[in-house]
Amino acid sequence: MVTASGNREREARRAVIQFENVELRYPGSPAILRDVNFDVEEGSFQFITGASGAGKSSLLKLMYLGLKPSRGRLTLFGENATAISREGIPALRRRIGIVFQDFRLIPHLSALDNVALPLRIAGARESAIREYVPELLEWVGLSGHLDALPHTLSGGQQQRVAIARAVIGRPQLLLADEPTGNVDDGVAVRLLYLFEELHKMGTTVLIATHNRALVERFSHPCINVEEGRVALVRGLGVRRPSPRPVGSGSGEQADRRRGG
Amino acid sequence: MALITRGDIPLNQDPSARYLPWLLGIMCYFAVLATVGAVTSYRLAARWDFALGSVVTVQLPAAEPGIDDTLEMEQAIRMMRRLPGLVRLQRVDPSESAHLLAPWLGPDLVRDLPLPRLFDLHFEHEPTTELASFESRLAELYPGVSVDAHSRWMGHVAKLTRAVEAMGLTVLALVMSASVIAVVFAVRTSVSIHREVISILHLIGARDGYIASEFQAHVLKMALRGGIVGGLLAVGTLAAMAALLDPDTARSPGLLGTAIGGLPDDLVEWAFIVAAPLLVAFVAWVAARFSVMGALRRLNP
Repeated sequence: MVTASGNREREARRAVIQFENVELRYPGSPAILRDVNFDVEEGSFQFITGASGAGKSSLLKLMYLGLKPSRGRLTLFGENATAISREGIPALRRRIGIVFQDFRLIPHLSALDNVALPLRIAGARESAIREYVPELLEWVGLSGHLDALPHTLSGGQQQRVAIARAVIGRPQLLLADEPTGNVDDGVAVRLLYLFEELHKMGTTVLIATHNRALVERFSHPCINVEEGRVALVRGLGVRRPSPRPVGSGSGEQADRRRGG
Repeated sequence: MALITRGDIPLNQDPSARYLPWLLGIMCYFAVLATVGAVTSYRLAARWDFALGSVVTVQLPAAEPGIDDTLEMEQAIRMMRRLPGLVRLQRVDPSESAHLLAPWLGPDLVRDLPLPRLFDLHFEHEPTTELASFESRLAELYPGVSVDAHSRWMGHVAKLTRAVEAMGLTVLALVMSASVIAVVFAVRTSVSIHREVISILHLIGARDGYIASEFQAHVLKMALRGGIVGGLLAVGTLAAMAALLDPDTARSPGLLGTAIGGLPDDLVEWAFIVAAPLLVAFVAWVAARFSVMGALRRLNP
C-alpha cells in the first residue's frame, strides 16, 4: 500500500528543485519574491515567463545558489540549499548548467577555452576537451570561431558560446536566463531545439524568457512570475486558479502542502 | 602543487603584481646574504670554540740577565704536565714570538729584548682546573707569571658570533615577513581586480582551491624568477667582496674566507644559498594560498 507520506517521499525524490514558502528580499527593501511554492520535476522542460523586473532572474539565481532565500526552504537535488555549507556549493553547481542573460564569458579566453572551462574545473583530460569542445561549438554553428575572443563575436555568437559552456558538462539541470534575447527568431527557435535535444537526453531544462511568442511555439509548461509571485500556466493563457507545485500531479498534493 | 598556470584568470596582465618579482628578488638577495652570514658565523663559532677553547697559554717572565732559572722552569713544566686533561704541552719557539712582535717593536729591539717564555697547553676539553690557583702556585716560582685561558676571551668572541648569527636569522625572518606582506597585498588586490572572472568560475562550479591554485602558480613563478635573480646577485656580491678585500684572505680555505668576503667553499653553504630563493618562493606560495582563500571567503561569504 502506498501511503500519503510514501507518495510525498517519492515526489521529493523526483523533484530536482523544491521551493517551499520561499521569500527573497534585500535588507531594507520590499520582497522581490514571496510565497514561492513549486517543484521542478526531474527531466521536465519548463519556461519561466513574466515581464521585465518581475523576478524571473532572481528565481533563477536562487536555483543556482547565486542568492539565498530570505525565508522558506529551497531543496536542490534533494539537498537543503538554504543550509548548505559554502564548501558544498561547487559540487551542486557542477550539476547545473547556466546560461546568463549577459553571457558572462571570460573576455581573455577564446570561445574554445570558455566552453572548456566546466570540463577543466571538473578535472577532465585535455585530450577529451580537445575532442568534445570543437564538436559542440560546431553543433552551435561556431566551428569557424574556436579561437575567437568574445569581444570579436556578435551578440548571438557570444550567446551560443555561453550555451555551449552551459551544456558541455552534460548538466542534470539547465537554467537559461533569456537565452534568445540577442538572436533573431530563426536562431532563437534553433537554440530552443538544441535545448530540447538536451532535454531528450534527460536534462531538466528551465528557460526564463519574456518572449511569449517563442513560448507559444512549444508545448512545455510555463511558470509565470508576476510582481514577485509565482503562478503556473500550463499551455498559454490557461492560468490555474491558484499557485500549485509544478509536476506535483494532483490538486490533493497541493492542498496537503498548503496544510489542507 | 600546481606549477602550470592555466590562465583562466588573466593574472599576467595584472598591474598589482608587476613589481612583485623585483620585490621578491630583493628579498631573496638579502635572504641569501643573511643566511650565509648566519651559517658562517655559526660554523666559525663552532670551530673557534673547538680549536681555541681548549688551549691555555702560560707566559713565564724572561730570566734576569746572568741568572740561570733552568731548575725553576723544569719544575714549572712538571707542574704544567700534572694538570688534569692535558693532551699536549708545546713551548712556543722564541723565534716565533720574536717574529710576532717584530712588526710592533722593530726587528732590532726584538733581537735585544729578553722575551717571556710561552707555553701552549692543549687540553682534551675546556680545562676545568682552577686556573687561578694554578697561576698563584706558579707565581711562587715565577713572580709575574700569567696564565691565559683562551676560553676566557673566546666567550666574548662567541657572544659576538652568536649576535651576528642572531642578526642574520632576524634579517631572514624580516625578509620572509616582508615577502609575505608583499604577496598578501598583491594577491588581495589581484582578487579584487579579477572578482568578476572569479565570480564566473564560482558559478560554473570551481572550488576555492581551484581558483587559489591559479594565483599560487602565478606567485610561485614570479617568486622563482625574482628569487633566482636575487640569489645570483647575492652570489655576485660575495664574489665582489672577495675581489675587493685582501685576495689571500678571501681565497683562504674554509669559512674564514667566506666570513671576510668570498664565495663559500663547501656544499653545505652552497645548499643554503640555493635554498634561500626556494624558501622565499615556498613562503610566497603558501602566503598566496592563505591570502586567496581568505579573500575568496570575503568575496563570496
